Amino acid sequence: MSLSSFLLRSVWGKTLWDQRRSLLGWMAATAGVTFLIGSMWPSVQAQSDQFQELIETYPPALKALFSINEISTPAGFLQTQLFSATLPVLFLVYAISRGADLLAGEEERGALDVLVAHPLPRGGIVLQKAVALALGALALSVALLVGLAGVNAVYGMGIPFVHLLAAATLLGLLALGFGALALALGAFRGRKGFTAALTTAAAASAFLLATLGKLAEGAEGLRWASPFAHVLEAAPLVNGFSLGGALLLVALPLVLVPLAMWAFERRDLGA
Amino acid sequence: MSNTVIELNGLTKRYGASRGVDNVSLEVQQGEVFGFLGPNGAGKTTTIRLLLDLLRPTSGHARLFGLDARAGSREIHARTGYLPGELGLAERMTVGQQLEYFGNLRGGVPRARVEALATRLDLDLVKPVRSLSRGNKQKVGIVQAFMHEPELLILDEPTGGLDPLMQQEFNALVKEAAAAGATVFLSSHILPEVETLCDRVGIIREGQLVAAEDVATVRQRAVRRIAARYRRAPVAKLVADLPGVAAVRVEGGTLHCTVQGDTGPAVRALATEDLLDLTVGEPSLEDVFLGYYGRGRSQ
Repeated sequence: MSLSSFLLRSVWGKTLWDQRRSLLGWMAATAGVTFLIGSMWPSVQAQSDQFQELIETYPPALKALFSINEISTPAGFLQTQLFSATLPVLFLVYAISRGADLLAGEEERGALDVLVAHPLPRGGIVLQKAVALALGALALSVALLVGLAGVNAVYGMGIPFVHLLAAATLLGLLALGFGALALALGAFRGRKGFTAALTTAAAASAFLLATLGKLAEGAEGLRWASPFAHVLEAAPLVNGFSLGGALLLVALPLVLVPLAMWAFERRDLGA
Repeated sequence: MSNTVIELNGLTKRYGASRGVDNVSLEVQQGEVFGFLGPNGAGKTTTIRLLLDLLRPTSGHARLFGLDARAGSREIHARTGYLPGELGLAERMTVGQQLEYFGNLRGGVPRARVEALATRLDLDLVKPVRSLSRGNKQKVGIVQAFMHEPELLILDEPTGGLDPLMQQEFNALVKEAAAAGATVFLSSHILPEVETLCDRVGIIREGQLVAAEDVATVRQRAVRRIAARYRRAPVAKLVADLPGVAAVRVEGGTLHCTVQGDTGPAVRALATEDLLDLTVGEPSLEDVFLGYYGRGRSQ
């Protein structure tokens, strides 16, 4: 059986089939960026003392905003260069744009009527869309893991594989969480632009809470409420999995997807 | 056990100011081809989307196959083929793959059936969906509505974008389905289209069901426009006193009037020796409404 005839059997499969080309592009970009930035390590390592001295002179707000800590070790370097902005932006743009499109975008295109008129429960349609979203995030995480394992091997960085796995998994879960938020907002109100804008605003707020939150005197602990903190601050490439972070990031889609199913069951579809 | 397939009871859907439907009650029996006739924005699509549980009524009920439109939606959807008014297909897949997918969501449809329908409608299964013209997208919609041989067909403006040859093929599909016992509920804003296909017509205007009657009765009540051209200026009293005749006016050598019901008496009265030419227009939708509302209120 061909891949297309397998995927065209279900809503989740068809959703992935629709984005087959773009998903390969996102995966290539993820692995490529990872390898490109990772390949700078040898030159940074040669002057790591100077770099570290330079960084020590940065104002605390800047260091906080870009989650800069130590870059004299391979894990610290990759954590700072990849996970403080570049990869989270890449993953979140993918997840939010997909999440906003899966219900709200299809509704605006007039593609949802004919699907919902098939003998499928509405909640099941939402669940299958969420599965497609999760598989897309998983694909990006796999591409990231391949890129990380590649630079780790090529430049003899010696980072434990479980740390690479933790970083790739937690970032994928972070993207899935915000993708699920976009899906849920689209389930409440079928407007793609509104959904994407609100989710992006939520993600930006959570990012600032995680990064600048540690400067808030007396409320430093609050930043751990942000999902970003568990991928940026917690530095999984350096420290591996943290149970609390993993639980929070898993909980997000587990709460948001049933909420989306509930909302989508209840409302009128847009004409 | 009655064989009522569609039963609407005080069905009401309110949006803001003027859209929606208001207190529509209606029954459609098994095997009937029912035409839902009304101008754009009258509430045809809203009614259809209420039937399919895409919208939820403000009040009243819709029952299909004796099942509540919402509670029984899965079974209703399995037994129904639906052609939406706007079919948003923009996927990067071929027509054949799109139809295969829709068939799979219904537990599979024989490929031969899809191919037979596509051949009849002259639809290329290998073309990418996003490259299709409006008429060809409409054909994809028709095939997906008919391909699982449903007991009920709900078709929203089915012939939009189809050329006349394809309209004939579509008419044949509807008649075959009805002959096989299927019930058809189709909306249109064109009276002749409904006349050729339907047994009974529901007339909807500004959200309200004005009448639900046999096609022949609707036609009988419709107002037709007559124009008669003469060698010398005619006089209005040629037809002015005949029953059903209204809006008589003379412009130069031509007499215009409207006739409700049979046009025979008026035509005979107009056929004087001076008559050069006579045209009796097909009733337009607005003329149908004239028959139900009377002059003035229809404007």
